[in-house]
Amino acid sequence: MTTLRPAGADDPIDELDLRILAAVRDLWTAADPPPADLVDRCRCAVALSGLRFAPKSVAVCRQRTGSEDVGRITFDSDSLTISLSVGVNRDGTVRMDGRLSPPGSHDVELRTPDQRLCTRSDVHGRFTINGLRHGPAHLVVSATDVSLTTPSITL
Amino acid sequence: MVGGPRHGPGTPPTDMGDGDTDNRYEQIAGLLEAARADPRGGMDPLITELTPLLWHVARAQGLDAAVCADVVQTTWLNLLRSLADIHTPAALTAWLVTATKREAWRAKDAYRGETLTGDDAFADLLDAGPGPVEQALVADQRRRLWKAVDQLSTRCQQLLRVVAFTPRPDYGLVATRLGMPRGSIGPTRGRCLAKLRELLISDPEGEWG
Repeated sequence: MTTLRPAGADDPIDELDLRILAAVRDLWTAADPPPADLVDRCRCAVALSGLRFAPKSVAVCRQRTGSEDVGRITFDSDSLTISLSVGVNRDGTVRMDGRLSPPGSHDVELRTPDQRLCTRSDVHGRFTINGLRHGPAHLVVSATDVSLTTPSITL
Repeated sequence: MVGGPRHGPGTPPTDMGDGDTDNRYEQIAGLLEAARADPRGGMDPLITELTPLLWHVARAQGLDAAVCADVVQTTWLNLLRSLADIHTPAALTAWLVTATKREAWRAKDAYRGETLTGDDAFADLLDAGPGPVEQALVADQRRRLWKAVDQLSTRCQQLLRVVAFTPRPDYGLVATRLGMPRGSIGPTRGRCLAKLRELLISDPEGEWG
């Protein structure tokens, strides 16, 4: 028979309680897992944030003259070139595809007035940041021994 | 095991599905130490281990997935400023849970009216078709568990969701050995857990688990 009174709050925790909690955890893990890239985003945000506390060499990239053409922008610095291709999705959000040269896997963060989106370039230096809102933004790339910041661009 | 013997000396529980809770607590103690020693480079394992907890805390506040992802990211950034004052895993998880809730409430105010999540998070789960026998058994257990969870108050559902992901020393094996009361996880949480247990025990479909 169903017991209406939620008895047992003062009873000792036992194996069944632990199995129930483990099952509740499994239930939510199956029903509503974190996005696959969430850990990477958080890790990247912390890694880049750390630069503010103990900055390595910080450099500002220069936009290559005449490089802004149909959504393509290139930034140069002494150590790295950042090539960006920016397009608009059907839903109106913005997608940015980037390539770092020389190629390498680095933390990349896009900062807007209300968003900080982190990703990591692959070994070929390629990265994508999608679902962006229109507005001003700049990129921060944490390369091996330098943090590169681009001037602000308008998405 | 429903209605079976409670814990007893010399009869350590086996295959509880949660038997590594105490080890996990100790593991997080080690990760916290590493993070405190090197906040810039040593945070990665801690982020990997505890991001699911932060995610479920944020989601339990009723925000959509994109906003919750931002909330979790911001919480980790905020932790950098407080890490020096946090010395134990219990203090760490308490700080993270509180900070995540606070950030979620802030986001909720900012996005009020447009990002409340629906109650259909389990729709896909419940609609899952029959698979191999083992999967069917798991699916049946989940269905019955969700049916019981669904009968709890929203408050209880939120609390148990967070409790289930929170590593604590007081509801692992130690708790069963020491006979700690359910209320030790918090009076309301203890009542919620007891209520869920009652619902599962009294399930007319038979034993659960």
